[in-house]
Amino acid sequence: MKITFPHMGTTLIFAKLFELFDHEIIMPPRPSKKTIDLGVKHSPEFACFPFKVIMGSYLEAIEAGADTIVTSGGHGPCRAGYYGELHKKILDDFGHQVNFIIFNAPQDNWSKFMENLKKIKAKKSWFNFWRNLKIIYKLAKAIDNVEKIVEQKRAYSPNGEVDLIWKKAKEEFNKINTIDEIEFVETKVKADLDSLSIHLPADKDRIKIGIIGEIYVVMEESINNYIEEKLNSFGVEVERSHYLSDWIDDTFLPFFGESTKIKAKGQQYIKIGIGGHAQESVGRIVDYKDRGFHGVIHLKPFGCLPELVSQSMLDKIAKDLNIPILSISIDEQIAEANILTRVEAFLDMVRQQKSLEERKIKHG
Amino acid sequence: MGNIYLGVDIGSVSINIVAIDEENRILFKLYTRNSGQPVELVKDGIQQLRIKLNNKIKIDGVGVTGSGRQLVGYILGADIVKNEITAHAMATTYFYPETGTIFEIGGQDSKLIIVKDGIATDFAMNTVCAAGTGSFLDHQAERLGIPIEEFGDLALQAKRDVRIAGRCTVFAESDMISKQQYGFTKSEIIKGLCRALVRNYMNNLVRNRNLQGKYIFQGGVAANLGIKAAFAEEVGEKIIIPEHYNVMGAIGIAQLAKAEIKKTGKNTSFKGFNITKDSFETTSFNCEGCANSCEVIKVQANGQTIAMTGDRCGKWSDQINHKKREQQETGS
Amino acid sequence: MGKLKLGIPRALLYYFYYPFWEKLFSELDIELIVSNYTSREQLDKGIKYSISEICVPIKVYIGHVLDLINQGVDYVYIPRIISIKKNIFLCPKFLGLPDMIKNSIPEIENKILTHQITAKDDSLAGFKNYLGMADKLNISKWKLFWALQKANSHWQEHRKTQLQVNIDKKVLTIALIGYVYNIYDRFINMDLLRHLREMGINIVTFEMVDSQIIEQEVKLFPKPMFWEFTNKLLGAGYHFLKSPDIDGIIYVSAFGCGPDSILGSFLEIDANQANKPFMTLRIDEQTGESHLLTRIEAFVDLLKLKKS
Repeated sequence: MKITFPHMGTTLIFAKLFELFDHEIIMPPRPSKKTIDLGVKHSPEFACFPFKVIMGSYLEAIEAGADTIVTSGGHGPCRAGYYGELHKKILDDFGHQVNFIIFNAPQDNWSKFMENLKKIKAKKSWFNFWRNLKIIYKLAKAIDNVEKIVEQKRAYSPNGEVDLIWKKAKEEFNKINTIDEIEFVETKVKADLDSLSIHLPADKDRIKIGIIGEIYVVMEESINNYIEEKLNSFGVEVERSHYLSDWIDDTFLPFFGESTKIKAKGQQYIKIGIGGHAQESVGRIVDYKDRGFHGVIHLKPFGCLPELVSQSMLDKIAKDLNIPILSISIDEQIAEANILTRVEAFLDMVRQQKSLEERKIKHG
Repeated sequence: MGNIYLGVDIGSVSINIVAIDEENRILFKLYTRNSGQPVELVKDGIQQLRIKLNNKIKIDGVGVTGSGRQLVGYILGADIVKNEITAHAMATTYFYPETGTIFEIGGQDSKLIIVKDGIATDFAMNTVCAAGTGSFLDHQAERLGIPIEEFGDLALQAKRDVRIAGRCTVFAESDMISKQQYGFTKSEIIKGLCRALVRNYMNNLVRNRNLQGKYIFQGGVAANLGIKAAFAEEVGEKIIIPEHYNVMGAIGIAQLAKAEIKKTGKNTSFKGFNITKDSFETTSFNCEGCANSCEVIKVQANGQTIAMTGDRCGKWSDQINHKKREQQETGS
Repeated sequence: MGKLKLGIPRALLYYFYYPFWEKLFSELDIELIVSNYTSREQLDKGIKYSISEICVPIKVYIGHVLDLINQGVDYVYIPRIISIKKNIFLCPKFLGLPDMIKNSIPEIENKILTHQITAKDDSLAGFKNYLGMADKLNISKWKLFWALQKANSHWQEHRKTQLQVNIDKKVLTIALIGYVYNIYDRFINMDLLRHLREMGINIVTFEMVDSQIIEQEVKLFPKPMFWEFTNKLLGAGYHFLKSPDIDGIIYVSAFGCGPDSILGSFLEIDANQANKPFMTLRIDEQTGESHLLTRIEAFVDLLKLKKS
């Protein structure tokens, strides 16, 4: 069994998971122009963009020898929950013989879920199984903890010192096998970041931007044109609404994670969960405002069903909360220059408004 | 002669260069079509500037804007490289402090900027589709066999209204042909196209925003009276077209360059008029240093590398920046 | 005090549930005002108040809501229909419909009459769903109960009559797969039904297929769709694929419809394998009528050739 999986965010966590169970892995290449072209060509025109990119990733991985694809399903009503089935149908139609292991929520079909689990568990004991899952969970947490510091400090590190540490950190995390090792790497990386001579400016001189929206385009930097790095390079701190460890919390411990709290904050705008992360997206804006952020960037794939609903109300929310919001739709046709121009102009606007408000406060 | 600041706007359709003085007076203004060789056009433009001002000038600051701003910024040694939305807002609010709304339509981009008390408070830009931009009109003018310059005046001669689908260039074309077959005149069709463009602009960029006056319309397409009339009809108010409507981005970036120089107190990093004699070459390669395989763009002047960009890790661009810093420190 | 004037937008599920709503609200002594037929002007207004990327049916809906506000109704009825089958939902845009309207059109909040509907089947008559609304309108529970009973039996009768179809096998029969609001809105589909009828063609749609047949077909599918009306189209679609009485299938899909992009792909692949002529008609706010006519004529010619 040669396993591959969709490329989303810090893929080393998924790779580690299969590695711990002694599976052979075909690493999905980081989505490139070629991946997108391939995916677009083999996908229905009106499928959403992540569907097309993932299709491209699968085709590249199959070419590299993958015969088994592991992915998640869902019970909607967002289209993403159906990706697996449709990818399979189209790949079959093209004559590619690959197995799909699609993880749907356990409560939907318990026996199917267990069957899938056993395929992953392979020859390991159940004891090892739980141990490995715990390692993965801790790893995801540790990486996200580090990344959150990076997203802040990188704004004040124009010469790339922070990026260098971050890159090395990912390599180090890739080598771990035990929880102790994870803790060691995390502590060391944090110390490295602390030792840099980066002084966070006084609170009033810091600009913080939150990134919200559809999970795939928010997490996969090669698809969102490395928007976090770009924002950082303009001297702005960033935080996003999705991190892998939060996603794990949400999926397996839905009532204990932070998302319940965030959703509640968005309830005045979207009453009920409507699929995807629309309610969280809206709740996050409120949350960012509460936490003193200066602007919000909303990312979504072109035509994304749930995020279109949240996008419909952004004008009103921006006005209600007095926080600038920029919405960007991403698909194969969007030009990088267009995104960059809008992001830059947005930051100019955020800065001007911030200083205007400060002047107002000063002069009463 | 007093201080002079240069503003360069590298758009996908046109390249504009202006020179302003300390009082923001326009000393030089050039609007040329971008034939696909921006560097040559910029060199040529700078040569023209030098002749116009009798060689006797020293440039005190340079700003570059527009979608091709990065590359030209390296070549000229710009003091400031900024997006065109900020540049447009800057120039317009200077000329018209009471501006409320800026409609800017260029060749491949269209923008809306909302201004309050001289500060941009909101903006929108077309994303993927050309249907609300100048190239839409160019395309249809070609189709009808009418020079684009006559387009706007013809629209004003129309006697009847006809609705033309304008969401997408292709649909507009087939709709236009079928309306022609119904016997609508060319000028009526053109008026329909102008209104289709403005309708598109309204639907995609303005949406349900509450627009306020004054209304300023600029960008290359602002020369088109048909579009101006369609905008006036849409907002029900007078539309102002600035004297320098087609180079507002360049003026704005020149003003921003001036502000930057004043703020930092540094000397300009402008490379000098000699660049018109230099030969520039842009090449790209895929860095295989890691899995990212970034496409790195390398700009060379007379065989010497002056800029590298596109690498995410800084492996290449840092070398150049490092060299530059050293040169600055040693004062050379 | 005069009767309460309640506006119903002539859009989206109006084309499926109007008989039910008409009976229900007349039993509740509420005057119903249905918005005008979709028009250019209405659609333009709808476009203005919606984001450009959203599907045409939603833009049309917003246009109708504005039309009703203009007519001075007391409320516009915008129910949040979440589910009409266990664990199967409607598209996210339906789930968020009242939220979207409330936050897209300024100062409309107090003009919206909304409540949630979760039902086990097509009938919307579940008593509990309406309690909040009845409170708001000062309607007694008894009155509500009986009105729902009557509306329900009226609805069941109406569904039965829809199922009685006679197929004339001598002429061409085309199955139209598409949501009710795309099939029956004459403006938005440029009078597709009339054009087909003028060509002497029998038309069948999903409402004419017994829901048991639909459910059987859905069960055969590896994973049912998440969206109820998409499932109905899926079941009917696969039934039509197998049915020898159907000469061809036209999938009428609105520009930007997400669920269609999934179902359409499945049907297209399988229609191809079943050798059943299949065409997708994409309707848009701007498509020209001549374009549409050319395509359906060519498709019909192809079917005729195949049948003879």
